[in-house]
Formats: sequence, structure tokens, C-alpha cells
Amino acid sequence: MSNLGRRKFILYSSAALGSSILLKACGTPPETTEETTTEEGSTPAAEGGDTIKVGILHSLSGTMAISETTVVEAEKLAIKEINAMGGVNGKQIEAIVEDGASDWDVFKEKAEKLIDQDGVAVVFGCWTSASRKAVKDVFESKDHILFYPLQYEGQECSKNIFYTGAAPNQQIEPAVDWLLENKGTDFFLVGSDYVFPRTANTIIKAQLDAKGGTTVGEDYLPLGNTEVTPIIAKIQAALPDGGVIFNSLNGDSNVAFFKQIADAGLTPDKYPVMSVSIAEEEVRQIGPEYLKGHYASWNYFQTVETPENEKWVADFKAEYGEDRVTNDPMEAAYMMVYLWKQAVEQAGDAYDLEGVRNAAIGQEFAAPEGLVTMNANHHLSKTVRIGEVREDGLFDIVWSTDGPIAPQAWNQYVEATKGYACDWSDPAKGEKYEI
Amino acid sequence: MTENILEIKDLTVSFDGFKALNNLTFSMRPGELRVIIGPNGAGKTTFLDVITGKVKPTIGKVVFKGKTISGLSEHTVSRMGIGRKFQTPRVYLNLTVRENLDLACNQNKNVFSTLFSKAKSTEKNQTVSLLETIGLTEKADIQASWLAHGEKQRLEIGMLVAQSPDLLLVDEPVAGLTDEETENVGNLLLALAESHSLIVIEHDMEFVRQIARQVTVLHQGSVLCEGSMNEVQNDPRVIEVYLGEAPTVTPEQMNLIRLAASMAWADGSFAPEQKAVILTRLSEQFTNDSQHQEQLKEELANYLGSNVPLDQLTAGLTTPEEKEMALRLSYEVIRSNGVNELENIVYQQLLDLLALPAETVQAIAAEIDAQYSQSHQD
Amino acid sequence: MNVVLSRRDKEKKSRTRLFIEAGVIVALMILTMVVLPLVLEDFRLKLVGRFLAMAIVALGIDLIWGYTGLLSLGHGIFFALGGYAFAMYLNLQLPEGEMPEFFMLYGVEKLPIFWEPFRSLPFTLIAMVVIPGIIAGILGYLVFRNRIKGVYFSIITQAALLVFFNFFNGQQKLINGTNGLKTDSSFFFGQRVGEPSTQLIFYEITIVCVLLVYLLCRWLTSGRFGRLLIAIRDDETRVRFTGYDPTWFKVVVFAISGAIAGISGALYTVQSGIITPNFMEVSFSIEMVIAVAVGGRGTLSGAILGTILVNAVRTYLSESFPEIWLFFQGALFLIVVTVLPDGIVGWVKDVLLVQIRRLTGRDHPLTYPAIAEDPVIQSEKEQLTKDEV
Repeated sequence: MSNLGRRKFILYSSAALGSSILLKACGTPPETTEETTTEEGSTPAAEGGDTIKVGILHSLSGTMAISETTVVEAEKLAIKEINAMGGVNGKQIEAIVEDGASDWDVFKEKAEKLIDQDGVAVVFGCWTSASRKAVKDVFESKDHILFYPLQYEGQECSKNIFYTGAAPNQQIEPAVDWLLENKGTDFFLVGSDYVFPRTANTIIKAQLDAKGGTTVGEDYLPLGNTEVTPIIAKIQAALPDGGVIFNSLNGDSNVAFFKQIADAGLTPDKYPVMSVSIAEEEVRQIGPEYLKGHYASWNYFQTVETPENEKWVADFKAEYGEDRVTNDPMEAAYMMVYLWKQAVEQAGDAYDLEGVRNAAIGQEFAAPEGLVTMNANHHLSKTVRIGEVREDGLFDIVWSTDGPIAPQAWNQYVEATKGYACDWSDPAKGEKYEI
Repeated sequence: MTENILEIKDLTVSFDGFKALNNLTFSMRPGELRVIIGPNGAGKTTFLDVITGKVKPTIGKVVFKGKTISGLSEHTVSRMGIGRKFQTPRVYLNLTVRENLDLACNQNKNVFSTLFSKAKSTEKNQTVSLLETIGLTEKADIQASWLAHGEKQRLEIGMLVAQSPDLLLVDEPVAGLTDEETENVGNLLLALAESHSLIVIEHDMEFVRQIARQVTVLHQGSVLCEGSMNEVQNDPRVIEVYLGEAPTVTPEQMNLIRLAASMAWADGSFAPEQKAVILTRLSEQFTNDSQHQEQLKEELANYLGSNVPLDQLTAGLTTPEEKEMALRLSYEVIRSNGVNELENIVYQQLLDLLALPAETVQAIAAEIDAQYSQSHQD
Repeated sequence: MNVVLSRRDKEKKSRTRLFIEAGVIVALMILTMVVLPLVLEDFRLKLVGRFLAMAIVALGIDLIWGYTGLLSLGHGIFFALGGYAFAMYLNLQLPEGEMPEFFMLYGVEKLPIFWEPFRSLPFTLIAMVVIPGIIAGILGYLVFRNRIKGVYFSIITQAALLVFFNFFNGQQKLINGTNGLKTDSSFFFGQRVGEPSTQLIFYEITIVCVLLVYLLCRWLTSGRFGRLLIAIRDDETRVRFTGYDPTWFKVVVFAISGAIAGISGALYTVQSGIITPNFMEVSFSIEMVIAVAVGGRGTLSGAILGTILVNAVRTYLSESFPEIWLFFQGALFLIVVTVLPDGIVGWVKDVLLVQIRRLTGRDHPLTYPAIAEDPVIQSEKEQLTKDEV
């Protein structure tokens, strides 16, 4: 039945029944997702044309705008480069930008709009886990594709999402190991009160238990809150002779936090802070003088020495200004456009979503951070690095893994997901299977 | 004797130590129309506030129809039968005249009966007859915001009546009205007084004279005096506090004016010549500055009320000089338009009261007679 | 006799007006319920459905602000409570023994106790109206009893909003914090909520609810009760001295307004597929108020029209100018509020209709409405014309 025809049918039947619309609905057998998919899938294919439409969905207004606009710039730069090189399969990429307005509800609405209305072939988008989770339903029910550039808490493996940031085992876990080896065994965990820090700290606690470390304290600050004095007091009480502070605070809270630990005399030699949400941009905003000597764990720093990175940093500055810096989320956003391009070229048709998804697995790309490979669990193999903040606000890379580390979507330290993995290349395994 | 409708005893209201009402005692019989006057800050509005429940008394209580009402909220007091009209007309501007009255007519004013019950026919009839009473039948379906000021005043009074209160409190009903509107409102109040007890606060003395029967004067939160309009208006204490800021004349001078006025009124008419004489003489007497004299004349004109018993006035004269002065002035006043029988009687009374030596009296009379004959010759 | 005649005229006029209103309503119902689903794409239709759901809360805001004069900047609370109530029910439509997935992220093993009753649909349907209503009632009682009004009332509603926002935003383990609750993949009577066919049903239900709430508000505002609300707005002291206790009237209206917002929130949530604490942010509540202002406060049609218009323009602007749409939106609000202080419907009533009547010659060319409607002047005019004849 055609789209219109089916709707007409429902309409007439419900209109005829008048007030018992609801009852009628109960009577109709539930329609399968596949039926919808084929319909939705058919629309964009018909629109093919000379360009390939892609969606860019980030917050351009609201509290997240300051971070997310940098990611949009990186994505636009990649698209510009690809178009300059002749596009994808000879077609130019046309980016349709939508504003998620830091509002998860709006993210959802705009995702639907990009897919249904604009008929995009892929969406590059989201920053917060909340926004990703909000649109996850949309991409799954419409069986579409989202590329997501942020490191995150893991515990998710959607058929329709490709995660190009770090999984916890590519950022948090190596950082904890490095700290245990080099900085001490007593940890105090600080984080903003939302899903990423909560999950990250659950993992860290399990890891410390397993490896002989101690969690001496754990505290959370509501998102955006800058009342950090009580937390500092708790740290001083719990770690009178120094120890490690593991920080997953977000946004403004960091500014207050680092200023106050400096004021309280918690210096990096006795109280090293390892942050997992602070990159070059944030260092610039907080002020390098407060952060000098503290650490961050990422896959990419602007100071990574690869030819690809040298070129990218130069290109980025040429495009957006000499004073700009690059960072991990921007790099992930930049390269995911290339990963998608390669997948489309292998699949042959950008609107063959199923084909593109299958082709994406196994794609390799020489990214600024080094070689990355898309695994069957839709996450990337990535090199892990630890950097120490320098006076100029960039990082000295003090440690790095020998090569790319394979991603784990389901965490192996957390009891509920221990022993599980994800594999979209094998229909029998899929989202979550027991190893 | 019937019970007083309103009974207030030793009532004090203080705001942060400032006593807006101070030991006030007041009572009123049913059916009375009482006007309350007093200078600014005398506590008139607080007086209404405390009766209607807007302000709670610090000490004392208000008893209405034998029930204590102080401490109750405004709407409860209102439902018990006290209506209040504010100084500026307060009607619902976005409702029509009829709707304004209908809200007031509603017999059961709780939320749910207002929501679920329809207007009863008695209420509808009441609205119609009220529209007639306040003379707004023609404009019943016009938004109140389009009414003229005086019409709004009448509408608000109508709304009060619609509540069928036993006691109406009216705060300066004619402030800012034209003469014609003032008369309308005055007549309306007098008509209302036939079936309601009324307390009116007013500044406009002309208007007070038009409607007043009993007047209470408030000053600094207490009752200064009570009585008929004439009694009150000639009470020097009242004049002192009521007419204003610091009077430029002394109490002694005031007494002289009163006396002179009484003489002038002796024959029941206050001739313009008499008035002119009093004003000129006194202003000349009180000051030498000619410009000040003019000002003084205006001020003094205010003080020329009506009759006050002579003995009250003469009691205020102590020294022989003052007495001579009073005599001189009085004689001059009655002399100014020719002495008649009545004036002569009053003059004799005055002489008795002053008890001045006979030669002094004759000397003064001769002196003034001489002046008059001289001016006649000129 | 003159008067009697004019009254009969008036009755006739008001009956005609009623017929016109009923006609317009039926036409709009047919348009939205039958025509739009046939013409619009799924995505657009869903947007219309969400705008209509917002129109319901706008009616509630108009009731408390437009009619009663109390500017509530906290309606996001009641809206979100309705949304959360329904979302909790939908999230619990799981096989026996299972819990909503997000609890796993925080290691929560037992369903928080307050979720339990939301397994029941009847309870949920009642709760999504009654809970916001009761909370509005309590808040209103505390505020109105102390005779707080004007800008202080607005500030208190904002403070309350902040309290609720912080609670819902901060309680990861109870209500999924900032992530909010999603509904699309839940099942409602065996139907997947996100499915277009299910969405169409919710769309139609929304329209019916708009109509019902409109009729409710119309009934509330047309009789003595409604006039009393206007009276409270115009002069609360007078109301008090007339023997009414405004406190209870305001509490009741605020509670009704809150309950209406709850319905709106539930219908919105099920169509947007997610409810988050964002709806308890200050900006959302203010936007709702602005929508009413744009349409014309104190008119029910204005509230509906304004909301649909503002949201449509907002969607259009943000789609066309994603980077700078906020400036356009701000400018638009400023223009409408300064140029059309009575909103669009107010402008149509006061200016446009008068102009049209003048152009079509159906208006008696008069200058000042007070004079035009003054019966004395009209009777004089009649006299004069008679004399001329």
C-alpha cells in the first residue's frame, strides 16, 4: 500500500469509528519496522540528483553551542576538502545544517526533519550522550546512519550509529592504568552529574578494585554548577598527603574547579588531576596557568607528530584563523566524514544505506591521530595518548600506546556487561552477544 | 434605644510605631449619615481600612451590629454588610456596566456557585432597578472604561448598593468631579441615606455642607470633635487643624474674627459691606505689609463661618486691650451697614459680656461714629 | 421600548456570532483532522500535532494570564509533569520483570517506588492531569494567600521552575536526569508509539483535546466566573470589597491552568518522543507566554493562533537560518509585542475589521467608539435624522 493510501485507510477507519479511535488502534496488528523502512528508504533514493545531501546536526545555540560549533567547523572543512577533490563518486556533498539548540527534543525533531524532509544520506552530529540517545530512536526506526564524534561512556552499540570518539577502554582505562603506574594508587573521582561521568566512574571503581587501587572519594556537581568549594574540602580531607584526582567535570564547572584547587595549594606534583573532558579549547578558556602540569587523556592532541596532523592543523588555521586550536572531538569529527566517504565509494551509492553501513566496517584512514580502523562494533581502533598541559596551553604527550587499541563497546569491568561484545558484521551476533 | 450599628472603642492602629489611629472611639446609630473630615494624615483612610478588615487593629476592636469584625478578612466583612467605595472610582473597566453590577449582585460569592449557578431572576431584576437608580440604564451594555468619571462614581456606588449592605463607607466621592456631577452624587448619597447607614469621608466643604447632618472630625488618629456642621466648622480647634498648614493668624486673632463674624450674623444676614469691613480692618490690624494684607484677606475669608455663641468667644478675651479691640471691631462691623434692632440687641449682649468701663465704650463708639460721619461728609 | 428592541437585536447578533463560531470550529476540525493528514508528510503532520499540543497549554496560560492577569513563568513545570507522567507509563510497558533500559547505566536494580503506580493506564491518565493541577493549586495557594501578585508572582513561579528543573535534571537514578525519558520505542496497546499510524491517532486525539479544552476555557470565561476573573485582573481590591475571596478563585484558575498544561505536556511528549528537563528551563516557559502575547492575550483564539504561528515561524526560521535564527525570532517577538500590543487577534478586532467595514461602507463613520456606542448620542442622532426627513 502506498504511503498516502495507507494513511487514508487509517484515517477513514478511525473517522468512521469516531470516538473509538483508540480501540480501533488496538485491533490493528502492529506494523513491523521493516515496512516503514522500505518506504522511507525509497524516498531519498529517488531524489538522487547531482549532489549527495548530508546532515550536520549540532547545537548552534544554547549552552552546548560553544563546544559544538567547533565540531561543525571541522566537519565543514572535511566536506569542503572532499568537494574540492571531486566529491564522492563524482557527486558534490551538500551539507544541510540544523540547530539542535542544546535541547534533546529539538535534536530529535531535526533528525527527523533531515531524514524525512531533506532526504540526507547520512547525519554527522551530536555531542552530549543525552542528544545521541534522543536521536538514537530516530536513526534506528528509520534505519539510517549517524556518525558521532565524541568520546563517550560506551555501553551502547547501535546498528545505525558509528562512534568515532574513544570508548572507555580507549581513554579512561589506559589513563587509570598509567596513573596507577606513575602517580599513585589513591583516587578521588570528581564529575558532573550526568550519564558520562557516572558511567566512567563506575568503570574506574571496578578497575581500581581489580588492579589494587583505592577509591577514597567520589563526588558529583550538577551540570553547570560552579560551587566547587565543598568538593575541594572533601578532597583535602580524603587525600591529606596527596593523591590522584580523576576529573570528568564538564564546562563551566572546570573553570571554578581548577582555579580553586590552585588557590587551595593542591599542586600537580602532589595532586595530579587527570581530565577526560578537557582538550585544547577548554585549556584556552580556563587559562593554561591554572592547568599547567595537569594531565588529560585523549586519542589526539594538536601536538601529535604525524604528517597528516601537520597538514590538518595548517589547513584548519588557514580556514578559520591562526589563533585557533584543534582538539580530539574536532579531529574525530573531521575524519568521520572521510570514513563515510570511503564507505560510500566502496558501496557505490550513498543512498544504499545498508550497503554503506556494511562497507564502513573495515575502513582504514590515515587520520591526524594516526591510523584508525572501523571495527565490526561500529567503533574505531585508536591510539591512546596522555598529555601534560604546557604553558602555551597545548599538551606535551608524555605517554602513548604503541599502536591503535581495539574498541570495546560493552565494558569489561562493569558486572552487567562483562563478557559481552558487539558485532554488526555477523547478523547472528549483532548488538550484544556473549563472547 | 436601638443598638448602635457601629461601635469602636479605644482603637489603636500602629504601623511600625506610628499610630495612624490613636485611642479612637466612635459610634454610630443605624440610619445615620455621618461625614468624617480631617486634615491629611488624620487617619481617615486608615479608619475605613480598619472597619473593612484591610488593616488589623493593634489594640481595641470594631463591633458591627453587635458582632466583632476586626480581624476578619475584607470579603467576610463585606459579606456581613459593609460596603466600601474608594476615592477614585474602582469599577471593572473591561466589563459592561450591567456585568459590573451583576458581579456585585451575586448572592453566593464562593468559587463553585459562581462557576456553576446562573444569575437568578431576582438578581437580574435588582440589576435593572439599580441601573435606574444610578441613571445608567441607557449605558447598561457599554464597557465601563468608556464611562465619564462621574458615571463611574455612580456605577461604583451602585455596585455597593447591589451588595445590599447595612453600612456604606464612601471615601471622597466628589473629588475631581464637575459641579453638576457633584450635585448628582450628593443627591444619590442622600437618597441612599434613607435606607442605609452611611459614613462619608470628604474634603470638599461645600459638598459636606450639602449633605452633612453629623460631622466627626479626625485629627492625628483620634476624634477631635463631633457635632453638626455649624458647630464643627466654628470650632477653633477644627479650624486650626482642618484648614491646614500653620495658620498665619494667632488664636487670639482668630477669636476676633469669630466675634466680628458673629456680630455680622446678628441680624441673620451677612452683608457684603460687613464682610469687606472685617477683612480690611483685620488684615490691616494684623500686618503692615500691603501685599501680605491681600493674602491675609483671602485666608480670613475662609474663617468666616456662621454663628457661634457669643459667650464662648468672649471667654477667650482676657486683657482689657483685647476686649477693647473686640469691641471696636464689632461696633465697626454693625455700624458699616447701619445698626438695626437685632444687631443692637446682640451688641448689648456683647457689652454685658465684655464688662468694660462705660467711658471706654462711649469713647470707642464716639470715635467710630466720628469716622463714619467724616467719611459721609467727604 | 427602544431599549427592548436593541436588546433583541443584541440577542440576535450574539446568536449569529455563535453560529459563525461553531461553523469556524467545524471547518477547522475538518481541516486539521481530515485534510491535513492527507496533504502533509508524516514529519510535517507530526510538527502540526506538536504545535496543537502546545496550543493547549497556551489556552491554560491565557486563562491565568490573559484573563486573570497573573503572569506565570512556571508553566513548564506542569507541562513537563504531564509529559513525564505519560512517558513513565510508556516506559513501563515492558515484559514482566524488566526495567527501563537507562536504569542499567546507573546500576539501579529496583524500580524506584514512585514509578510503580504508573504501570496503570487509568492512574496515569488521571495523574497527568491531577498532579500538575494539585501542584499548581498548592503553589498558587501559598502565593495567593499571602497576596503576592504582579511581578513577585512571576518571580516565584520562576523560582519554582528552577527547583523542579534541578530535581529532574539532577536525579539520574530516579528519572534519568538530563537525558529525559523517551517514548518512541515503547508500546501503547501493542502499537509502537513512534509508528506513523500510532502517531496519527495521537494527532487526532490532540485535536479533540484542543477542542475540549477550548470549550472548557470558553465556558469558564464566558459566565460570571469568567467575568470575575477579568474583575480580579482589573481591580482585585474591588473584588475583595465586593465580598469575593480572590484567593480561591485564583487558586482554582491556576490549578485548572496547570492541569491543562499537564494534558498538553503528555500529548506533546508522545508526539515528540521525548520529555527532558529542558522543558522546565526558563526560556521554554517564557516562549509559551510570548506565543500567547503574539496571538493576543485575553482571547482564546489568539492563544491558539499565536502558539501555532510562533512555533511554525520558529521551525521555519531555524530550518532556513540555523546559525542566526534566534536573532530573527527575537526581532519578530519585539516587533509584534511593540507594534501589536494586543496581539494579532486584538489587532484584527480593533483595527482590521474596523478598516474593512469602513472600506465596504458598512460602518457608520464615527471617530470615537465611546461616542459611537453612546445610546444618548445615538438617540439624538435618530432624532436629528427624523427631523431632517
